[in-house]
Amino acid sequence: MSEAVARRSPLRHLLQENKLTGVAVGLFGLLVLVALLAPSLVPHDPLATNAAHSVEPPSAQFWFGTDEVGRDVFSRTMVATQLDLGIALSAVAISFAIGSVLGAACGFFGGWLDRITARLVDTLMAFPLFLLAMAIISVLGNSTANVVYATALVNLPFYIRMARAEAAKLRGSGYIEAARLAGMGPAQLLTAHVYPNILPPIMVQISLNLGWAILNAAGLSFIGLGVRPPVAEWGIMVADGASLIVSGAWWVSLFPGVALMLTVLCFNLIGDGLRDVLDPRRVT
Amino acid sequence: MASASLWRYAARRVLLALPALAGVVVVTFVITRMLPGDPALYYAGQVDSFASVDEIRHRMGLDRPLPLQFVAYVDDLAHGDLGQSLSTGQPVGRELIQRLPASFELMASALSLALLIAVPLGVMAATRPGSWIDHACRLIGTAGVSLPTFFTGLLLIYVFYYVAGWAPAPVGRFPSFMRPPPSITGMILIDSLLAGDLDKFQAALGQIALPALTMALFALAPLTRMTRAAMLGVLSSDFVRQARANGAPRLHLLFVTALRNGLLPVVTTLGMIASSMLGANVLVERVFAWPGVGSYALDAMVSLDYAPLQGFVLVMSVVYVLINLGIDILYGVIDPRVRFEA
Repeated sequence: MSEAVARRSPLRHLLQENKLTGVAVGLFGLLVLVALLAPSLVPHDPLATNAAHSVEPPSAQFWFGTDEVGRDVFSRTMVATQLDLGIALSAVAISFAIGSVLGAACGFFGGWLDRITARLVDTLMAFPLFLLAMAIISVLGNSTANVVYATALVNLPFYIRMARAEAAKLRGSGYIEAARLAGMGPAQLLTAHVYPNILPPIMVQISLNLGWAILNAAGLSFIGLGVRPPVAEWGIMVADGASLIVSGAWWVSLFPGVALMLTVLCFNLIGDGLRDVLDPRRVT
Repeated sequence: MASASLWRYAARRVLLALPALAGVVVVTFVITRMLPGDPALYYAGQVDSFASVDEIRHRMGLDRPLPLQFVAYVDDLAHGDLGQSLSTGQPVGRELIQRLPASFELMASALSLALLIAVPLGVMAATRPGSWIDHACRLIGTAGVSLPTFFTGLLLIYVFYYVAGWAPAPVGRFPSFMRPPPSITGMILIDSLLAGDLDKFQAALGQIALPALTMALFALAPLTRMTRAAMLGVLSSDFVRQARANGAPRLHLLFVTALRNGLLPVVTTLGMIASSMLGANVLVERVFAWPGVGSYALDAMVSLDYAPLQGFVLVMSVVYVLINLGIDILYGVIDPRVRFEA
């Protein structure tokens, strides 16, 4: 039995152990497909307004109905996938790239670099995350790029801390000692032996973080920070429908809201599945 | 003797919180100086002619070197001066204090509701691993963190206000046709009880139900998850088995013997939950037109009035540092071992 488990590839193991994770991976594939293809496939122009079709319920012509200025909710929801996924992926990529390298260096070398970074991390963590993101965007100005920077900066401390803790744990381990005795320099040790080995636990963090980053970006645009209307973005679309839902027009908010929810759920399920495989001690 | 060690522990924690507070003040200062818009220009346009912008800048101290400006900023903060809102003309500090009870009432109700549901649910799931309640618990744990608060709020409004008609109009914390009870604590639920006015209490309860539920759903997921995981660990430990063998009654065993130890990791997650609740609060206040500090900051921001936003972020971050301090101290109260660690 244990031999069979050992021989299975990690991905197959992941999918067979937990059916839900398999579903989530499938959903992620679908999302990527939609993000890539939607702009050229949707039936209507996501930005085209049409006063004759204002706030119409779902129909054969408008599958998800229309919003207050007559834009097609289906086309907008699909097209927004690209922007929302893009924001989350780039924000997480930035915090991962900077955070893991800086954290690993801090944990491995220690010293003044570590002390200064620790102070900066503590200061960032003293703020409630979403409010810090709000403040940063109000300084930098409303734009999609600034949402990415703010989200990346707010997440940075988690990557630094995690990479630092893992690297500090590895520093004294036997195989590092052996490589050092074999004549490897510190920079080579860090890049060849420490950095690759801190990555698995960080992968889990990345997946869970992607979900959070999308929620964060959508929340910011919901309150009018960041992505600017009339661009199709899930948070803005939910906000567009907020005043209509009290009078019964549920479709304007519902479809982008559900898309947002499914995407976040997808990342969280993948993260849980990854954790079960990569870090069996923390299975809950 | 135990209390002496607790005091020493608490004092050390307070000292450790000071750098975090200083960091918050420095960062908000930097943010203030980088915010778009020139306050001197604004005042010049309002009060004087354009020719005297330099003079106003001088009067406001904006031409001094940054370190001096920082000293002045800290001095203002020490006097509770957070600047003036350009749109209302009122001091930001006073307006924040007026609106703080509304936000506090909402967050406290939401957190209590979440704890009341999450802790029993987590305990029950841990006692019956693999049962339907355990699966429900795991589902809540994953699905709950995936919910966008602003979207669940709107869904609840649609279902309970528009379709079912059970909830009052989702605007504000008290029906506009009623006179609110005399303000004592600023929290309407408590004030109406103090005034002995049950009608008003019921009206306020109706208004707060949906926003509090929205926020509670958000906090529920991590709480349930942590309670379940912690209780699973504790229930299989030796001292619980010993207590069970000695014939301890089941409920006492679960909720007193085991839960006290299981609570430790739950208390640590409270800090994280506080951070996300302070953020979610802004969104929920926006959805339900709740007149708290979050809506205040957002309303000001729309008219490019940044002093309220900056005061809001500063005050909330200070509150957050204090919450974390409180959690650390609580940790020392629950678990005497941490008091003696270096």
